[in-house]
Amino acid sequence: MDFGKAIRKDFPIYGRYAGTGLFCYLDSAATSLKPRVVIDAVKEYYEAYSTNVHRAAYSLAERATEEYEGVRAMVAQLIHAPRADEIIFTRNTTESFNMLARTYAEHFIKTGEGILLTEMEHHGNLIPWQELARRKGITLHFIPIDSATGALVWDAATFGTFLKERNIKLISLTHVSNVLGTINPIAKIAAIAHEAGVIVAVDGAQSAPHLPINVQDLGADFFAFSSHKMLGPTGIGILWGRYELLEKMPVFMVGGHMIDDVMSTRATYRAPPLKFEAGTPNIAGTIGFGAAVKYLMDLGMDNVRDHEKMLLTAARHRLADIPGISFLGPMDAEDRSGVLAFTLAGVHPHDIGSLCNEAGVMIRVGDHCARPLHKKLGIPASCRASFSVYNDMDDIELFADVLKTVQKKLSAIPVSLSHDAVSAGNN
Amino acid sequence: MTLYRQEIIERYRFPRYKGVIKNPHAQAEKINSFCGDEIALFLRLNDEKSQVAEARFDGQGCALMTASADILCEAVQGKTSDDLRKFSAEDLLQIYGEAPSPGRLKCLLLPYEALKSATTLL
Ligand SMILES: Cc1ncc(COP(=O)(O)O)c(C=O)c1O
Repeated sequence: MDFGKAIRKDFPIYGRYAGTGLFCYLDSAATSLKPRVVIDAVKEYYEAYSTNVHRAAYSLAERATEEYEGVRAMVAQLIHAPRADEIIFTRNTTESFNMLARTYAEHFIKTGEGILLTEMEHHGNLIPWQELARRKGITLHFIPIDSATGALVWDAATFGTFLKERNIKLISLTHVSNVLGTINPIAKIAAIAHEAGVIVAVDGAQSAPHLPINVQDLGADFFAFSSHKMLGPTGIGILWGRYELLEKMPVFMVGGHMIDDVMSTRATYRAPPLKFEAGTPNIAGTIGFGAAVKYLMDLGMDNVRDHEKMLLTAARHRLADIPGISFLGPMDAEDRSGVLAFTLAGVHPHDIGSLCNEAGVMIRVGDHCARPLHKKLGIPASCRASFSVYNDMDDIELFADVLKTVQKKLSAIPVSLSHDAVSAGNN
Repeated sequence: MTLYRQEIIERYRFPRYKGVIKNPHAQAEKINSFCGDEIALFLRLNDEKSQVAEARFDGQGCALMTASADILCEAVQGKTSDDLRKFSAEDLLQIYGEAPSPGRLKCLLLPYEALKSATTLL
């Protein structure tokens, strides 16, 4: 299977900047680039059958409904969900968690009970729970992280007792950290959680684009992710949940499309997933996402994972001899995904970001929407390069060269030349 | 086009006005919570208290913030408190020379905000 330069012809944006030498995109964890098939699918909807869904008296709208509904089955296949009607379309991961907090959790978790998160959560899987906790008098607990290894600090032997003692009813945690890259042991945590009667919600925003996902093997009860981080359009996200939970969940947004029968003073609602999709949905975005899912499945998620693991390993190796660099997160590529966050002693992340930009290298700097994690690590900000299917070794080489220049230019601490010459080691 | 012309880099690596003034006539601190940058700005007036005799800054920050603070400390020397009140963000940007991207403007203006706060104490 081809990756890197061999598939860049599929991504029109590379054509736009061809020959400028100023398009080294290393920020796919923020959002990914889009292949032609996705753009075409969106365009085709608007040009050939831009009609509404679920109200077909004519064939074009039937086509729209079929294409839109068909995406559920594709997404279900991608994440190995047992049923297509467990796939709820939202706007993004953040909305998925807001929905979960406002429906399942709001209804089933009571004052005085607890919700368990981790110290590595993205704000999208933190603030909705903070608000819920405040509204209902629920206590938030956090699985700590080991700053050195980037791993969660938890003990399988005592975890069940911990959950019971703290009266935890829900664990909501990220599958893959968007800063550390850590792949969390969801299946192990979920197995113990379920024995203790605790529901497990998983933030898949950084895993679904990069790893093969099987929500059943993970033992997740809910799984949330965003189309835009996995080659699809913006404005479309997924909340997957086990059907029996979705059935019990109260509605979120209400209005048209999600009703069964309407009297003047009350209404009855449709079965999941439609009861969670009020109003005209993001039809074009959903159809575009379907094309992205197909594109990824054609590449094969195992191959995607292998390609990105190769890039990660190469990047660590190439960057390792830059004076003052320290990487965040696990050492072993097995334990992490293709996001590589780091700091450079004596050089401010924002200067690195700006100077990389001047050289056409796009990385992210800041707290990456994970401020409590950065506080825990004792740093205000970090730099992050992240990889996807269209990246290749040339990106890594250019990035490493630029970073070396930046370090030399800006390092306030003069670093001895001998250090510069030390080899990278063989990780 | 670079935000990091030689002068900026030199002022960042070897700032001329970095330091603390003991018993200053005015002092202000500012923090950029977004990136953790912090600056303290100190002003000492001349004996007649008519002009800034000396300005110094201390703190931690990116190259743009540090260079901007250094440039600012140089620029305010000899200014009256009236001058300081009139001194605008545009004045600083003009001396700085390069127009930063919107995302970096905050870095450049943090020292300016400290100056504005300090000025109210004069
Ligand atoms: C781990 C994680 N969770 C949640 C989100 C939020 O995703 P979105 O902005 O698409 O809602 C992101 C993306 O920034 C993320 O990396």
